[in-house]
Amino acid sequence: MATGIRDKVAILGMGCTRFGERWESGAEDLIVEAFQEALVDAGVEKKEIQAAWFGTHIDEVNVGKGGIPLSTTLKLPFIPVTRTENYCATGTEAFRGACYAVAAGVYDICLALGVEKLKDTGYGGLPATAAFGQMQALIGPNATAPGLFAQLATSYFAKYGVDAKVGKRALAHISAKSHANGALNPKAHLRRAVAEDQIINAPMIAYPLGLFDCCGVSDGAAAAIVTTPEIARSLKKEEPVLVKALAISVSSGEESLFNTWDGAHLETTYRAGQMAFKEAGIKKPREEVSMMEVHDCFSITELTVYEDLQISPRGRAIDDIMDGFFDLQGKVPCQPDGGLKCFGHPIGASGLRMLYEMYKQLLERWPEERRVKNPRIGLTHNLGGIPSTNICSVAIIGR
Amino acid sequence: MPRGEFAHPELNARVEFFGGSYLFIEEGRLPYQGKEVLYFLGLVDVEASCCGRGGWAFIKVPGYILSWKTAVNPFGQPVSEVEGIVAEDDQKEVRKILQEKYPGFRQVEFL
Amino acid sequence: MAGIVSYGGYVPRYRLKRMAIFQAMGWINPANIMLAQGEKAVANSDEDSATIATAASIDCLRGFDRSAVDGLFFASTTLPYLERQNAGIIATALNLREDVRSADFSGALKAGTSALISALEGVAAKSAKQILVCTADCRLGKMGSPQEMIFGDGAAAFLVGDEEVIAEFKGSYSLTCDFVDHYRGSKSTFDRQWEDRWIRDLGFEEFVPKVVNGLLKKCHAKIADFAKVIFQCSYDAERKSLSRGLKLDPARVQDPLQTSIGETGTAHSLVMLVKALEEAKPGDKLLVVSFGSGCDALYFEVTENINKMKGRMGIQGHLANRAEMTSYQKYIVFRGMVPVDIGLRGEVDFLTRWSLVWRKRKAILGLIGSRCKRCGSPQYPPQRVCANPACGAVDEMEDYSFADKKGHILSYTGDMLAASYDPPEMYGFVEFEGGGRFQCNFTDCTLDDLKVGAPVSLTFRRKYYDEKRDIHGYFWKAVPRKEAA
Repeated sequence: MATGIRDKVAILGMGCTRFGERWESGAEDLIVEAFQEALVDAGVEKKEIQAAWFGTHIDEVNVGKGGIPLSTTLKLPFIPVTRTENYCATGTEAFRGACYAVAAGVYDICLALGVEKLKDTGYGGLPATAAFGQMQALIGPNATAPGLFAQLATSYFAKYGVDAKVGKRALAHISAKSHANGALNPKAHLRRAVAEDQIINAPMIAYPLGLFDCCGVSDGAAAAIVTTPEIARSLKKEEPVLVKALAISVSSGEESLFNTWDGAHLETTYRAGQMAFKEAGIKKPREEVSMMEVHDCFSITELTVYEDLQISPRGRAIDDIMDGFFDLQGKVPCQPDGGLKCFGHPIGASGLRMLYEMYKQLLERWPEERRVKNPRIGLTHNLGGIPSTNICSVAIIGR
Repeated sequence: MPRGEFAHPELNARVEFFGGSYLFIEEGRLPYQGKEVLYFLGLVDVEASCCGRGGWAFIKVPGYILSWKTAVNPFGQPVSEVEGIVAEDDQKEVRKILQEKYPGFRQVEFL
Repeated sequence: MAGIVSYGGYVPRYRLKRMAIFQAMGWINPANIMLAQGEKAVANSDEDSATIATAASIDCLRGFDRSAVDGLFFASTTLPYLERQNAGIIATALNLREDVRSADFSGALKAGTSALISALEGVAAKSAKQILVCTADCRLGKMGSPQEMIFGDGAAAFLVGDEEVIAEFKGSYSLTCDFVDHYRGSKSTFDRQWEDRWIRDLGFEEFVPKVVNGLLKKCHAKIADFAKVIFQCSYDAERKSLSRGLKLDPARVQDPLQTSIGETGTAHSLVMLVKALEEAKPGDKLLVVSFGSGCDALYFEVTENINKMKGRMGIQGHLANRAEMTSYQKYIVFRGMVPVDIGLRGEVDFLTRWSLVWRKRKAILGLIGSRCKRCGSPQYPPQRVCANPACGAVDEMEDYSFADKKGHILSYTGDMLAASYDPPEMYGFVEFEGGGRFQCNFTDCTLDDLKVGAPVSLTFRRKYYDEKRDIHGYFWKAVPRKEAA
């Protein structure tokens, strides 16, 4: 009878590069940067790593296919390297692969690394690939992510009778909070606090999403070295950070093909959250989750995720947002590192960057001004795709 | 009717965001049906968003002016009391007037 | 007796004032001021002859069983493809049977009437029961040319049959004359024309009376019998001269729609015929004359069944659906006449995979989805595994057409960043009465027209044009309607 991942894997070390427009660095430079930090943090030698999982999403513009780029860049000694790709859950998938290998007792020490180099495209945007397949390229609308997620906002506002002004203020608060957090973080790209009014006054990209409601394109990499709790305890003095849950939920096709999806929430997030909480033994998420890093590609995503993860009751996220519930000093700080808003979204790396933040917070490694109080359980959430068809990952780590 | 305070943004001061910046270039008052409508002309340059390069000129309309710059907020911005324009017909009419007055300003949003 | 069973029409929504053209280009050709009256209809950036002909055909086929159509003839001198049968694209969009005959008619402005004559003769000979004839043109004149002032875009469609006809076909007379008033070689975009005076004096003045008299003699008719005489001639003075010469009562000369649509080429005499049918009474006799490499003349007699024609937009309805094209520059960019920067991201190379387009032709061109026979849920695009979580049946699907279903807007957005020829790009989710939903672009509207819950109808449009490979790709978009049809 399967028993899940809870407490079977420990994080030995993590690394994360500075994210941003890393003109001077290619993917290989970012890989080395993230890996070296993780290795030093773990206190092991490279030759002790027995298997690796390597995550990148748009390999056409950066690393190329398969596990080769990781292995040849880091000169890994002919060990297994598995390539993972699952949209924005790519980094978490790499982590998942490494954890399952350790939990299965097949390996003792494994590496997960995610990287994305997006700034060589020449036009400051994501490469426009047929990411949803050839058929969808022939029949899908000429759309962008802001336009598709904007509909999540209008549907949510309509469903819960949210006045446009109130809704915009809540979205602005979400962004302002993240920017305030990012301003304190040397690894973030955008390190400037922005006032709510400046966000509300900003022009609309796709109503009601304005400039500050959308994240940007950047380069980055992050890595994790995992092992069994026993090995972790034997190598280090402190109590290790343990993996509590790893959940993935992929759209069934229902949302886009059938008639029941209300367009106002992310079903995969709800299901992944349920699976993760069950695996972690969490019965009251609102009370038991200490902090979160969620996929704030758009501020509306963050808003609906608060409800989809059962932190806020359905239709009531705005009350919590305006109460400061998710602010750094609030009950469940969200995006304590600044989130995608401040880091941008190098797709393969983001999942691991989120785990990095939760990991560092759990070990109380940050200066006082950035710390979450009494951190016990950290949750990361990624959402890849579009509201009607997507992949969600939820990972929970704790100490 | 949504009444509220509106803090006047600084003109010609760039507000930076991840993919670019925006700024307000002009503040104006439009007579309309016996009242005055406050509006701001702005320009945005989106250099590096997820979905390409863009930029456009926009107008923000906080609403009818109830009282003009009667206070100053803690950030040093003058504050006026405004009443948002909610009726669809009025929005349509004001939008039309502003777009005719400022050709090229394609986006008009009522705050 | 063979005749017209139904008709349909289409005029693009955008109208460009001729004065706007003159204001932009009159400096180079001041004579164009003589032509600067009224406005002309211009296709949207996602329309071409095939799409507007499809729109006219859908209008025509309203209320008719498409599986009874035995053939489709499409006439145009602005066919998107020189080779890849354009009629075949339209037939697939209309979801006609596979065993229909089809043909593209081209090469002259009389190709429309020629196609109609062929269809009528085919039905009369009983080699087909019903044939759909559609015709459209989106002709281009060089910037600053009189042609640019004169040409307009439009389409007409007729269902030809021998039962319950609304207009009986009484006969036709044709002239084939290699009279090159204008021509376009296979490598050219623009027509070249000879002297106007020669065209009027030796062309219209000679051929039109000849073909009319030929028809009258053949059919034992007199010109005074006709309630309406329909002939295309964009020279206003010449039209008046011909009317006098033929001793026509001016009230019986069909309005050429020059100041509201423009000269729609191959479609024009038939666009005028649709308008005439919209105004006709039982017993009216109609004479239709086309001009281009000779002439065709056709004689119709309207029957009682004309009163049963309902629910068609035709030309009348579409004329009323108008939006101002606010700048000449927009027109020339839409028509691909000038190089324009749509950003590096817009330059993404998209390879059309013909094996995929063939395999999915019904879904892509016909908007045919699937409906699960077990639970009844319609789904688009068509699925093998039912999307209903309570069902999940595999391979229990039947074809289900979405193009003719009523839909409404579930959600929408106006996107300032998506690469677009007419920002903001508008798209969203459409949900269908009876079930099913899909994401699509909205067209022929402004952001203000989009509201959650607004009814929409679906329209066949050019989805992309691959400039590198000269490929026109088609799909459907949604148009918001003010009230349910």
